Amino acid sequence: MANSRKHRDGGTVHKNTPADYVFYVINYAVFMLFALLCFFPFYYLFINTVSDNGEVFRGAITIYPKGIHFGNYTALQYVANLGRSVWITVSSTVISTAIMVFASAFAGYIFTKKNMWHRRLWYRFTIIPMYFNAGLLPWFLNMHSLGLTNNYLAYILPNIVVPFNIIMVKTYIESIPADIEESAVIDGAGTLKIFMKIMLPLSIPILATITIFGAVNRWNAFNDSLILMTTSPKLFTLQHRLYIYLTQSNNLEQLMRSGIKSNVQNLNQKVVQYTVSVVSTLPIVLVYPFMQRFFIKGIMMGAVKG
Amino acid sequence: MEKTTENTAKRNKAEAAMYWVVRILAVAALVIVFISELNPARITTGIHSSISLFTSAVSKSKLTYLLAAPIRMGYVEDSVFTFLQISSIIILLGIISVCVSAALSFGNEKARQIGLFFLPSGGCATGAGLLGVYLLYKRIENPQNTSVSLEFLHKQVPPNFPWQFWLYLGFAISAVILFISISAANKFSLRKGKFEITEKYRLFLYAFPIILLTFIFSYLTLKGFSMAFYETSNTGINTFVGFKWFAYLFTDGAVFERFIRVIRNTLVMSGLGLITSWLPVAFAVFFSEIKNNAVRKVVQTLTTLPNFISWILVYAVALSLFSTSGLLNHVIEAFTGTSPEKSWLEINNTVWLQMLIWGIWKGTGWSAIIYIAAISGIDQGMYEAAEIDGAKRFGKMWYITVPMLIPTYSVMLLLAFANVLSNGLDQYLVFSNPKNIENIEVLDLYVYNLGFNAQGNSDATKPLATVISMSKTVISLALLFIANWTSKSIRGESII
Repeated sequence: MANSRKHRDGGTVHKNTPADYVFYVINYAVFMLFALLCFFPFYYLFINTVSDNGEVFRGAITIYPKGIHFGNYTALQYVANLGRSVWITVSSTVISTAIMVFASAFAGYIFTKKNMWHRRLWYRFTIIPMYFNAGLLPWFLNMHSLGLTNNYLAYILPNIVVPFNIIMVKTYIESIPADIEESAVIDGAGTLKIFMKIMLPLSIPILATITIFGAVNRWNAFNDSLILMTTSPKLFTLQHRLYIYLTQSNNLEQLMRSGIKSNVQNLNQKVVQYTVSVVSTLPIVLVYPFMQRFFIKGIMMGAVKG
Repeated sequence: MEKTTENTAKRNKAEAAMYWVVRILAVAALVIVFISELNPARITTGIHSSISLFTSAVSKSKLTYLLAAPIRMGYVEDSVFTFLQISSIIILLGIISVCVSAALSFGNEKARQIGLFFLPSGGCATGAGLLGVYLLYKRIENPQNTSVSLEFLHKQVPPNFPWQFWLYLGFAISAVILFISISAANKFSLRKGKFEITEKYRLFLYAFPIILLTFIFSYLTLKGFSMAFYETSNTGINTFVGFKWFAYLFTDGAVFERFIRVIRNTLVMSGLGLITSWLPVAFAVFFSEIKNNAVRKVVQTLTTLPNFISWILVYAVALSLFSTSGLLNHVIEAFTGTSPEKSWLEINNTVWLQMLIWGIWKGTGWSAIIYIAAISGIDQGMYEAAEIDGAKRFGKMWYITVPMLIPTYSVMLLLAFANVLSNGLDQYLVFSNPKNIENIEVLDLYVYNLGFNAQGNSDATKPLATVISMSKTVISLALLFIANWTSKSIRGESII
């Protein structure tokens, strides 16, 4: 395998020429370099959070950590408002994703039913919003007149119907052989029972995909927090909090003061920024490698629809 | 005998027609509770004009947030608004009851008869709620507080009899009248038998919550476009001004200059994106030459990871590397002995390039996946045939792989073309700073800055933001149709 490649039919054997080796070396090198470029920033942030804070402040940490300690992470508990933002983000991610997935599954299934009253009309009605975006201000006004400004429900309710996910589930369910449903109908199962007992378990692969996409989107969301939570800092999401820490230095001063309380040596702006950044990304970086196949399946499904 | 059947048929037809009236009425009511202009509970102009009946019912704090001072001073009792909220809830329940009736009207006779009872109860509940609203209005008109003059009180809490009151009253009365006429047409004996709704309507009712949510959160948003045609005075009165703000965009020198700059930035950023859109294709073509599975997996995982990181975190990364005290400056210091003492993120004239590179860094690996999958679907026989004809590695890549990717690429390109005005807000918002704002401000950021971040806020900023949002929506839709039409006529397949 190392220096010769068998073709699928097993007949011809291709010998690598020196030119091939040159190509391989360059190709591997370029890709490894790009992969490193993609990974290094995260690694760099991380080693800075576990290194000696004085060294970090002097910028002495470049490739490997020095004076490893985890005090910065325990110090975060003293950072005002951060715990609350974590809670807001985690709870809204879990709740809104769960409801969204169930609603997408149900809607996707119902819209496959040909004898629904004006099915095509209602399906299109639900899908069309995917293609337009009224803009920030009309959106804000609408949310305001619905009473969803400075309201936790703003993280949940608008995200229940996601047209793209409905399309994906619908396409998936349509690919399930029709006789499965027909035999259930003959056995006397009603629409809701078929959905709960047959369609929901059968569409788990696609539901896993939209779950993971939905959760990542929710986790990273910050526009709604930024624009809708005008007078409720206690409802800010983690990403919004991080944005404030990165851009507003007076907030950082507060952090510094709380840092003194926590007995961590040389706690400084930079370190707090880095640590909050790592915390806000950690779930994604940890979960992503294991869930990658779902992500990839997701984009492929989307591509089939085009 | 024949005559009776004829009569029954006629009666059934009349009944069916009346049920349609009930359904239309129910849906109309369900829509207008979300429309703030049609709020019957706005008994004083102290209640903000953007409050709908729905909001009045769900949030007392929103109902009173302009009235905090008068309530504190005792010019109006807080309980008035508690009762107003209760009245709104009762009206809402009445409307929901009518909707239940409308939903059940799709069922068999048994279901219809059960549903019929929800009709007058809904009408009466709405009426009761309206009565409450009326009494509270009277209370505001003739306040109990006698320590200050009536005129002063009316100035603090101006009473306002909402004309929308009559609209809702009409609704309540129609519900009751419909009940009476349907009952008259119906032989009123509660039938035994199974309660069921015809399948086609039942399926519709299942889907209805989804349809309603779509309406509330997507279509209702379009109502905000009206702001582009109104001027709001300091006292909160809207006057229709036609296309004044559209003209203002082009006639006001400073505004127009900024607008042109924004358009230029938008088109440059999108243009750079289009020019480099072949990068994921190249990534995929060369990636497919990696035969070692472990390497493939590692490279793919690491290069797609940045796509799932928020732009805020990308900015955190950028700060750690390129700010004044970032890694780059420390490295330069280590080699030359002096730190440049500047933030690389604040250089105005390289901002386009910076944004492009961040975009490539974040998106290339991810965008390539679709092409990698397309390559794995190419028939190996083609490569073997090419090999027999003497094609070398690059020959096979260029003459087989690349042409096979063109269809997918063209779809992506068309979609990118349709999105040429939408760069997204996050990236440009987090990377913008006072030094690079001239070159970084794209349309989405401009709308945000006008609408929510306006320094030197004037009457014009919000309508202007709406004008731009609205034009952008229309143009983007047009571009999408053009892209779709192009795809249809060239490839025979639509992309939407």
